[in-house]
Amino acid sequence: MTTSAPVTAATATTAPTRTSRAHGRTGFQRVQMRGVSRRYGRTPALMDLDLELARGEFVALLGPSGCGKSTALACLAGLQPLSGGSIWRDEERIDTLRPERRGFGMVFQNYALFPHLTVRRNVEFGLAMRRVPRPVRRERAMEALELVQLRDHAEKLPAQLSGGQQQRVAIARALAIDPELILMDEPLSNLDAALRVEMRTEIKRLYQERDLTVLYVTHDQEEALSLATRLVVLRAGRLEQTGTPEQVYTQPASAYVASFMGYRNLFPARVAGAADAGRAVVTTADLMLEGTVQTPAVLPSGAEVTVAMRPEDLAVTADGSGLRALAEVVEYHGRELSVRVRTEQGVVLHVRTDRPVRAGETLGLAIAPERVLVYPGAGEQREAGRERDE
Amino acid sequence: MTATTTSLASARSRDGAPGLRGAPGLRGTLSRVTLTAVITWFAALCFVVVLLGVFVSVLVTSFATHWGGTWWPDGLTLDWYRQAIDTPGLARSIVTTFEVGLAVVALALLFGVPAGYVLARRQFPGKSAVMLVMLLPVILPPMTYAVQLAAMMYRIGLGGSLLAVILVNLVPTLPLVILITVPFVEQISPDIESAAKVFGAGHLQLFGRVLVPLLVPGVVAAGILSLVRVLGSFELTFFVSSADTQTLVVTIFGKLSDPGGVSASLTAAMTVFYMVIALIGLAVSLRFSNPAQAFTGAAR
Repeated sequence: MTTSAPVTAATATTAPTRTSRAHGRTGFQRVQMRGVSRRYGRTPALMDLDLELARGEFVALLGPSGCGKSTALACLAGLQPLSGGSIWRDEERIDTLRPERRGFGMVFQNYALFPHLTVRRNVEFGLAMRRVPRPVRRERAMEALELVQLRDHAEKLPAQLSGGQQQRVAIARALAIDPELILMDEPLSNLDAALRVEMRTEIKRLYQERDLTVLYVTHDQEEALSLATRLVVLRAGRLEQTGTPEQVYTQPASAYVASFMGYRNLFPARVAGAADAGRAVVTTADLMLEGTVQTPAVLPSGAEVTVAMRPEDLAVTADGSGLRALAEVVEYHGRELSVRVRTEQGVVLHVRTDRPVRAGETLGLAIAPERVLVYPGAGEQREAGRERDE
Repeated sequence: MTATTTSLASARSRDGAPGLRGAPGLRGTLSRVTLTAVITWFAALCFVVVLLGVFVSVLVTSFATHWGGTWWPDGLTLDWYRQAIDTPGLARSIVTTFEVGLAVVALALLFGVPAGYVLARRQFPGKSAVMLVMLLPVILPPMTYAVQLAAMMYRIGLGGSLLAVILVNLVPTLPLVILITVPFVEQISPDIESAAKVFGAGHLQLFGRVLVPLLVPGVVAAGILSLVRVLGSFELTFFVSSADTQTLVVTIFGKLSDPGGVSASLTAAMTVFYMVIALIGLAVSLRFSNPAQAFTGAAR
């Protein structure tokens, strides 16, 4: 682990000085979790999870609290034993290694800095454990602190820094050991909204500049979408969907995933009759909609389905044509308005529009059939909604 | 207490926005002269004066040739100290006090801190029952179990030995150390331990580099309180010790209840020895417990 490891061309070009030092990268190609399960007593937290991370990926593990995403991270880090399955780094099985032998970097939700050590010594910690000589250690710690713009705070104690600064120290601590994989466990959820957005950009910048491989756990779809190169959605300890942010955002595999991806209009309906291939006309409370079926299976007429629509996909028509609905609540969001409407049939929908709408006005709504997602099963919606609330 | 909070509040406001520096400073000075502050300070002063008075009177008595009904003794002398040292068994009991004190504190910390760590980190059925049982020897008057403990020590053939004195004194101090350690461990986020492990710390490094430095204040507090308990524990030591293994408190009690009668100045001199030992213990502990020192020491 301490001998100099091969450095990729990309790394060498972004930071030429790093070729000369010993560091943690072993030039792995992929880390795989194969059929990993984890139980707490009798309660399963992870069930048969297969997850692969290729070098250079930024994977976001997304799901509500209790879906097993933090457990997956802890298993990968070696902080929790597996109940079944295995973890591999290329051809080497690593789930039997103790956490200190895995060489991963980690950023914790509550920063987890060592309160008795200065910022610099916190960042040096991983290097000290690897018996890196003191001058080298110091130089690399200062370099990592430079990356997160905290060089001037090196001799302070963590308690003297703000939350955002502390989290940057935690990131510097992870960067300093130059790990092949950085695990991040909801690193931004303790920060206030403005700082969160700023730190998000900062993490993305570091990812791009430093050629990192990141596994990032979050319950925030915006964070996941903006940061990740690939999204993995977990549901009750199982993998629900994986794909690029765009795939998951536009084509959620289930109503559950849709509920995460901003499909705020989720309601049960019935198939009224098939239209074109993959198209179905669905109905709820006399409201008829043409939608796109998100399953290869053929849905018979009368089958229970869940309909998912994003508020921004519902357009307010200029001439008042289309679905007639009464604007009930209008919220101002700067460039847009968020409107809760009730259709003539009594169905409540959420709409986002840049048209001036006043409460009490009757609107015409239109939506493209390909943006009305139809999932089989009526239970989906309720379940998804509940889990999201937790 | 009120006085402390007021001065803290004013200190905080002085650290606030530079533009407002003048006004809060003035308010801070004014708020110190409240009635509560005056009463609190007066009560505190009375307490300190009485305490110092008792202490000084013992000290003066120990140097007095004769002191009765006057503000100051007739003359000063070192005779009582000479006599105290010559008293059979006193020198021996001072040494014993050191031996027992050090041994008990060392053993209690050695076993109590790791036990407290485990108790704080592990969840198991009956944990609260274990905590309650451990509380018993700490809160029960030692008299309630001192005789039975001594009887047991004699039964197993340890009666009167130094080992027996150490063992019976561990009965209240070990649980005390555990009880003090638990909240200190609970203060350390498990994530900090996880971070240490992920960043390469093995068991020994985790313990030496992270846990011990973070637990120093707790360990020192537990050590001081154990030492105070051992120095003052009369009943436990009294029943199990022999002439050779008495601690100072037992020896002094023996002299006081001597049917022949001992002069007040002689016992005062012995008491001064006792106080000095306690103060040395306290001073040594406080040297290590200065939190700033503990932290900079670890950071170096």
